Amino acid sequence: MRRVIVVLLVAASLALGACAHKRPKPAPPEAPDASAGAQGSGANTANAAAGADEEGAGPQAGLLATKVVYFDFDSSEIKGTGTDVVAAHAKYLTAHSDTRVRLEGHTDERGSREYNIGLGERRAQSVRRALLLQGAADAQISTVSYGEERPAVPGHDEAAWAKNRRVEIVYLTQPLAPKQ
Amino acid sequence: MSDVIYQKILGVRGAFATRIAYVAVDGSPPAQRFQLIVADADGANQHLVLESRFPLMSPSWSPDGQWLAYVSFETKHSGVYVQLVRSGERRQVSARAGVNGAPEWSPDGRKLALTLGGSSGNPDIYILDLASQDLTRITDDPAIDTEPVWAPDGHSLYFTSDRAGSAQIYQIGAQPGARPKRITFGGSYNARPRVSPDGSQLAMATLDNGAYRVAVQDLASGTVRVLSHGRLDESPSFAPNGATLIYAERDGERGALATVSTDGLTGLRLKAPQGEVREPAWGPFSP
Repeated sequence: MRRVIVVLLVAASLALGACAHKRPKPAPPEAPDASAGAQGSGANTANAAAGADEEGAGPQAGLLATKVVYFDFDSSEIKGTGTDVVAAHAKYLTAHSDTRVRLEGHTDERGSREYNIGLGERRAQSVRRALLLQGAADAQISTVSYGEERPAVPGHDEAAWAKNRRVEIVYLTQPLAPKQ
Repeated sequence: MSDVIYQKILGVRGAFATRIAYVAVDGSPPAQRFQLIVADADGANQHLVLESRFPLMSPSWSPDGQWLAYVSFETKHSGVYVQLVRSGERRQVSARAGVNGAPEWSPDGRKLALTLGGSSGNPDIYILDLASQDLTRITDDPAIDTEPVWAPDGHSLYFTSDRAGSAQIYQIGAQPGARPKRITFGGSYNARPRVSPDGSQLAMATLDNGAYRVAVQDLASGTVRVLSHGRLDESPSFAPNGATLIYAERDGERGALATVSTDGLTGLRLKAPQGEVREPAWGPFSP
């Protein structure tokens, strides 16, 4: 009887040892990179087209090479060099009316996650409004908020937090369809 | 490297028959991988629900413990999904323009309360009927209104709003035209409400002397007790017997899960697999 127990314990510890070094076995498929198509009334399927959200490098001349705007804690106000950066991109978008950008809003890690999605959205909308006021067209701009979920830098101090409170201006490769 | 060992959660009746869901993150910013995992409350039987290169957030259990609702950014925009844990069958239930977030299953299992921002970028609370796809708007306010959670009787929601200037928690009837009532008054930041199964206690994340901590408010008396002691504690979730909370804390460089009894007297750190874990959601008692 004792020998049987020993064998079982050894087998169990071998199994646990193996499990400790790999991720649990996945059951479902990986999340697809592209939307499978939204369901439900009123759902916006416009961005489900393949390739519609692919990113490119965008323009690089002068201030346009800077594609990030930073913010103070708990603020969505554009100030300092951010004002000049936004102005440069507004001018570019006005001159290239089929160019599209996606504004990605972010926060630092403090505070609750879904509330931070709201704050990141507020920042993205702030940049969007500034671009529109300076000549960009509504159809050229889409927004997304990642809240605190996609930090630019690791770290848990003000130096890191300051780098994570931001909006990124992402140029998309697929141009706007010409007006009919 | 840590072993996959979870300490027992002491003093919780029936803990081993309940499950938790949580998000695990591998790698360093800006390149991270996200997983949604379900495990027994004692840590055994980890099951990978979903894996993604893009953020996963806000897991929420259906009342029968069979489904998870969650937020995924796999389309490069936020979307709310529901997934049958047993089979992996999943479907997208909201991918509207703007924010889609914070899904919470109703006590009757038929609806999700959630946050929608729309193209104007102003998050508000809605209720989505899962069968009919009917959408009912609950808040309509320029503030950030988010993180809805149902009272156990299904007649009202608690949610986070900064309509008073900073994040506080409000209660509102679960029907259009209802007026919200403010619930939290202490301190400058109270967010992310969760209600105990008997409806008497409200857990939240609160700013306490410069530190983000987990607190519980007695809804009848208004008394608030701060239960945790870290600097970046968040995401409290009640055990189904209401006596314990699981929450996320920061253990030096890594996010970890911990439990604390609602009287504040007993606390435990859960040892987690390598990488970081966050956003625990404690599932219901098995039927």
